Amino acid sequence: MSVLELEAVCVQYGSRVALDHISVAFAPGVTTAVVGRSGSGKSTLLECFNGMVRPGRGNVRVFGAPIDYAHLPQLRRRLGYAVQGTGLFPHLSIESNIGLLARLERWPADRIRRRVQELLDLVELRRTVCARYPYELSGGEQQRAGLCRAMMLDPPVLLLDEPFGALDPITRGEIHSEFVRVQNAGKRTIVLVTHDLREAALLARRILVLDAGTVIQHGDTGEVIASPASPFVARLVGSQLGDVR
Amino acid sequence: MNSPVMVRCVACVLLVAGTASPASARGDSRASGVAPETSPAPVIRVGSKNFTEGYLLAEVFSRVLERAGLHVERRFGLGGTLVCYRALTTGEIDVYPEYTGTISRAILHMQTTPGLVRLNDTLRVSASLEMLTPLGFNNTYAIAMSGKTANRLDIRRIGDLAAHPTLRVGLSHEFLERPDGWPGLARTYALPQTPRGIEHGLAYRAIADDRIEVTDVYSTDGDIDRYHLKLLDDNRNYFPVYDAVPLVHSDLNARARAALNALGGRIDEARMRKMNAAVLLDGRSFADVATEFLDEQNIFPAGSARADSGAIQSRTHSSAPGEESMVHRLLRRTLRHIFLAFFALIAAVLLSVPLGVWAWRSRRAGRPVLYVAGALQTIPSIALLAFMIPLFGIGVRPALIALFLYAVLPVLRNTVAALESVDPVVRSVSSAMGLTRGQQLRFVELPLAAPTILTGIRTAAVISIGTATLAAFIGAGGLGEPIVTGLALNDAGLILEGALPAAALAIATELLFEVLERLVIPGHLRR
Repeated sequence: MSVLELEAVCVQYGSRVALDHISVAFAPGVTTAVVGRSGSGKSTLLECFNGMVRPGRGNVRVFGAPIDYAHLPQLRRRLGYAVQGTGLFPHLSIESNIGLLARLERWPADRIRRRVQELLDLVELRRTVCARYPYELSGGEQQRAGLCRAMMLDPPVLLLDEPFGALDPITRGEIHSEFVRVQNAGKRTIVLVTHDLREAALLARRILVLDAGTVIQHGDTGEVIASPASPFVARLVGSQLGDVR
Repeated sequence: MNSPVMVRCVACVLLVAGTASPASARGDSRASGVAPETSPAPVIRVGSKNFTEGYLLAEVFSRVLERAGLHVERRFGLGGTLVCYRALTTGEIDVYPEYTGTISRAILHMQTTPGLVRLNDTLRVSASLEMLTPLGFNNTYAIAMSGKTANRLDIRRIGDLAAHPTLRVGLSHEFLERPDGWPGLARTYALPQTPRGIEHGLAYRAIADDRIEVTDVYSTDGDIDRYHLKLLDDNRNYFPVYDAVPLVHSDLNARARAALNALGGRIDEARMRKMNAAVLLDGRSFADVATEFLDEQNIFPAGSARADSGAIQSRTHSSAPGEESMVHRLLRRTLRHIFLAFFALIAAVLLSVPLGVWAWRSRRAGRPVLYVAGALQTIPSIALLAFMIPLFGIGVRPALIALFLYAVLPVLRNTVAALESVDPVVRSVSSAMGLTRGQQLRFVELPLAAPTILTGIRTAAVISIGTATLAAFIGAGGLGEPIVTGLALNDAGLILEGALPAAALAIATELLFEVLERLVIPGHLRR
């Protein structure tokens, strides 16, 4: 049984083909990194699952059922979402940002507060950031807050679109270790879009390599790194992980 | 402001004011010209344009009607021929002083002024209006310049101006546009000057200050002697006859007609000029001068017992100058002004913000809304007010609607612009994380757009306060009242009495919005 599934999905923006007859499935509880060059269709693939992109052809199944495009908000609340640049709401405090969905779900205020603090602890953010506005936080802190927001309702799936892309290497390293804690905190299906194979190797159990809207290789991390399925994957691995091999 | 002027201000203002408050208190009362004759006290609504003689004759009309036992509602100071004429045809007023030349040319668009009988026939058929017996003087347009300049350049006739192309000509806006005004005059006398538009009440001062040399005047203007002006000879008989008449709605009742007809032939040009001067130069009230005239001429219309006049006198005195204190008057006008400006503003905000959201979401369908709102903004305020009259009459209602229309664009445009400027990443994240369209709008897009929307509302508020001064032209009261009267009387003190509080109100509004912004918008989002 797979949690997220694409079946012969095609997505086209004007004349540009973003996804070309892609069929792929993600098993529950597994972190998969989607890697590839810019414009390879990584983000589009991710956005098929939460209905931000509606394929022209093919089927998208989430939690085993086709997407009900008439009721996307309900579905999306079970698919935590974070992006590069965080998309934190500038007019809301960090606590309000993280707790917004819970507020809309009419959680009691003290439950919201407890959950927010639990999440802040998990990603090692000081509790004092609660009252701050996003602009008052460093880039790394903002990304952590964005991650907390995605996890607020404890969704079974996390869709992360280059969430650490804008960070410097040291901050990135720190946040990676917190990410591992997030992974361990619950059995979640995570799709992590990244252009950084090193990050993929570090955080994901499986790797999906995309190029020009098609799947080049989809397998366990070790397998992809050890035996690239094509010269393209080999070049990708070689250029980014030369020292690892 | 010296004290006679002060007294005069109080007098004039009370006159206007005393008419405005009962009008508003009575609200929509339609029982006026069409009231049956059996009605014990029909209300006759008397209008006037906003210049001295208009006010004065309208006051004479009002008093003679009151002497005939009729109740009068004064709606003076309406903004020009168009506003008065429309108010009359739509039954918002029952009578106002008009001139035959204006009726034939500006209202009926005739090439010449026919005899009274033919003119009256045309009026009855085309507009259900009627002229009563002429008052007895011809207030024609005349071209005037300072006596000194005229003597120096040896200018005696209008035609002599052609030899002096550098003379600066400042004309009232109405004269500038009317077919029987400047365009025809320039053609008839081959005048080479390019005239500038100037408010009639300011033209005399402009001549005295040597900012213009030539202007249009009315031949009965009280200022002509005061400013030592010379009237140039119309040797080609260009200007038509402008006999003053009460212009009434055809269904005006017989009692009112009889009363107004009692004025027929009783005012000649010399008397009119004297009466105008009495107001302008001696600082006497319209009420005072009008009563004196009626008493001197011994005019008591049929149906009025002389004994009534005592009662009327005392009633007149009850609303005499000095009764309403300066503070009270200022307060009353300011409150009316605030009511006009902010009621219109609130209505505009309630419409424009949702409309802006809609226009932003359905881009293609929304664009025309912006274009229409933009087009509305280009209509000059006074014209928009005039357009309101056939639809909504005169008074508070059309003023509110006009102000509302003016306030729509700034709020609408800023709402659309603000929503368009929301960071697309933030917007897409709010959608992708599971907010519904309504929640996105309420929790993300509108709060982020709020500073710009608030700026639009602030702009609209200040525009609204400014434009509300013009509402006095259609009888809606407010701080425009003393401005309108002051312009008619060329009384700077009176103008300031309206303009200063209006300016203070605009500043107070700015401050209010600053406080509001501080309260509503987090510091880092303020600009």
